Amino acid sequence: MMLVLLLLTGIFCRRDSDSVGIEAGIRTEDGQFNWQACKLQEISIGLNKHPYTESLLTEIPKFEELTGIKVTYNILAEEEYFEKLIIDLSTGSSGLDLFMTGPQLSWGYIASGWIESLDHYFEDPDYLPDDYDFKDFYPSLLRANRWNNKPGKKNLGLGGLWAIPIQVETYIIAYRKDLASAKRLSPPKTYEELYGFAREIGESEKAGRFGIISRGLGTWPTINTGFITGFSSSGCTDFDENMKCRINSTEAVEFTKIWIDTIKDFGPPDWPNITWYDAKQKFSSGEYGIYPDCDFFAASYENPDKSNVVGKVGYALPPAGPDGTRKSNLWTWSLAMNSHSKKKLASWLFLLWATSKEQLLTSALNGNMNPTRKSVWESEEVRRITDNWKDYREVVNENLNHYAAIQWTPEKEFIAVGDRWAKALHEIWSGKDAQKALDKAAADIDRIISYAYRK
Amino acid sequence: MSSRKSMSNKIVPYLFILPALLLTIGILYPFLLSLLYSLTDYHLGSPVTKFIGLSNYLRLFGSTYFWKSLGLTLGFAAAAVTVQLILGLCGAMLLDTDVKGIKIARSLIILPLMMPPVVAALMWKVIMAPNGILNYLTGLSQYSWLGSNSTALISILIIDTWIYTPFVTVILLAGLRSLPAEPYEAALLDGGSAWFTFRSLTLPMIKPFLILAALFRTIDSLKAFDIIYATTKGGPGSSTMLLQVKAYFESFRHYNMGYALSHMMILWLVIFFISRFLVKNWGKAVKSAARN
Repeated sequence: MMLVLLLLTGIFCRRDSDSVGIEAGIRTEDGQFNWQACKLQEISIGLNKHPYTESLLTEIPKFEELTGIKVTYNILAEEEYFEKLIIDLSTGSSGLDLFMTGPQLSWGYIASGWIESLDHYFEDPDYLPDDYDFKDFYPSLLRANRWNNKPGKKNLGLGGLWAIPIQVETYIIAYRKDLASAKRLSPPKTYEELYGFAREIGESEKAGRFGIISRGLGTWPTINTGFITGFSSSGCTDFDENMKCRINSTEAVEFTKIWIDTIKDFGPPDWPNITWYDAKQKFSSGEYGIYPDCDFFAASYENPDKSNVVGKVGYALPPAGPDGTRKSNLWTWSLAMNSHSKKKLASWLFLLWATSKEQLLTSALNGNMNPTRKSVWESEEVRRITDNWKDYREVVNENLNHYAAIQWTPEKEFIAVGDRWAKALHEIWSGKDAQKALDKAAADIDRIISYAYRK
Repeated sequence: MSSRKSMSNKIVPYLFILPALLLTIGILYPFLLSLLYSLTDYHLGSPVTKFIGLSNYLRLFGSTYFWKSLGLTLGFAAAAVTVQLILGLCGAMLLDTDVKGIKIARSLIILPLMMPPVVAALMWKVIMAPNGILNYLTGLSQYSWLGSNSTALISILIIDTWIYTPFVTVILLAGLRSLPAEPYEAALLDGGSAWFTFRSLTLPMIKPFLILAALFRTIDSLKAFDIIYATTKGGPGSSTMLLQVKAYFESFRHYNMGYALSHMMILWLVIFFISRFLVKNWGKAVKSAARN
């Protein structure tokens, strides 16, 4: 019945979804950028519970004062946020004018026509304040937000710009340097070494500390961080050039086995229910020895108000694959505009303000790491913070500049594919043969893709 | 004048049934729309929806996940209803006594019902965590009740039972309180044992209430969603992926609304036939209890 009611809501909402397009008056008569062009309008933003959101909320009154636009927002935890977003966007509702998204998620939204392309705003100098400096963004992050709506790795970075990056994360390892030093352990350089490291650093269960923690829900984020980083480093790919699923190749099965064995033998006993919020909190509380996940979690580990392990964490590049190849996946939280928004100009003003140098610097100083603008990452203020985090800055720079890129193949069924893949990891963790579980998952994923792209 | 009166006589009955008619339309419209959409390839991201006949159903019946999911759904409902009826009856019989403090117990028993199921589920998630109080009490070390394939569904059953057994208790207690005293007095005079009294008097007379409680709990258990969503989201793997959870994932995560609705139509059919069976038996039990 719930499905039906939401369906009906969608049908009724479709009626009022006509866009009013871009309004006039972005420049004053004397040619100045007019921040007050949409005074007294109200916009609504969908936000994920994330350090970026925390850093943004305290700043919103400044935007309201600058523009006269009132901002309302809706914050949800990650899984619930993604689902709510689909419900809102799919109804054609203009309820959310802007929302947080990431490139991989956007692929489904782009294919569905739910996101406004931002190219025409950026191409018109009238719509950009003189000090915006678009070229200051890392080009790789802008490329990540471009897609031409065609499946295949070669199409990533082509086509329209769909969102503006406000945070970037790559996947590294954070480990308890104090414990590693005491046991004379070096950070693992391969996934075999990761297994050994997790075994050595994890103390007995009675001491309440385990070797490794990793996110583990049966949904795509479980694949997206440490797992796909190691998967790609091991020479594996999700799809080949003909869009045939390859998560069951010999190399893929080998890597998956060692990853799951490491978690099963030395990880949390409730791994299938662990979210990234749980994992970060548990590592910060000192319960675990190593956490291969987001680099920016360092801001929490090094915050005395949120962590028991301040100054005790070391940071290292993700382990390399069997032939020495090292890759990292990349995720960049970005702000996108609802193509059905009725307040596109007001939304554009918010996008500009929220992604300006000044605001992204404030955001970084308020805990939103890592910055997406070169000037912010290189600023004295950000350096002063990150220089205190041992090897953090060096590791992030190296990972971002040499190894990090989106490791997924762009296609519109990203969520269904990722969810199915994560279910296979659960099955293996529960004792099912890895080859069989991945064969079945690959067959299901092939079906999902062929159905989605049927002619 | 007389023709106006006869006209009004004709219209008035329809006006009386109008609210019921509107209500029926309000109920049937979403249902029929769901049925219609289950015959299409309705995808949340696609601007075009095509009629595809029974393709969604054929795809469903050809999927091993569907049969596994249906089996889990039916098994969960059967176990939940059985356990809750037994515990509910025990609770009701206990509360039907005049022991000191029983009035307070009667008030306290409905506390779990006052708690939103999602809140209760989250509370139990903490209790069942590896370092939670359940492991402390049972002496298990770091066992993950909700994270293990073998105990995830049982854990959800425990939570469901904790929340809804009071509902069964309240219905059965009302039934017990309404039973006539005379047959019990006669049994007492004839020296009938407690077991004999329970088996030959209480059980037959309370049967309509038992079936009524079973009816409500069966329908609810077959639709259980909130507890699962708040604790396991259908995992680990697919071990708690009941049909309605699967439909939710298909619709609001994977955009496949038409396919998701075909799951829901099958679930509706299952609920319809089971409910029909129970309602028929309830009618018979009421008549039989009245005869006794």
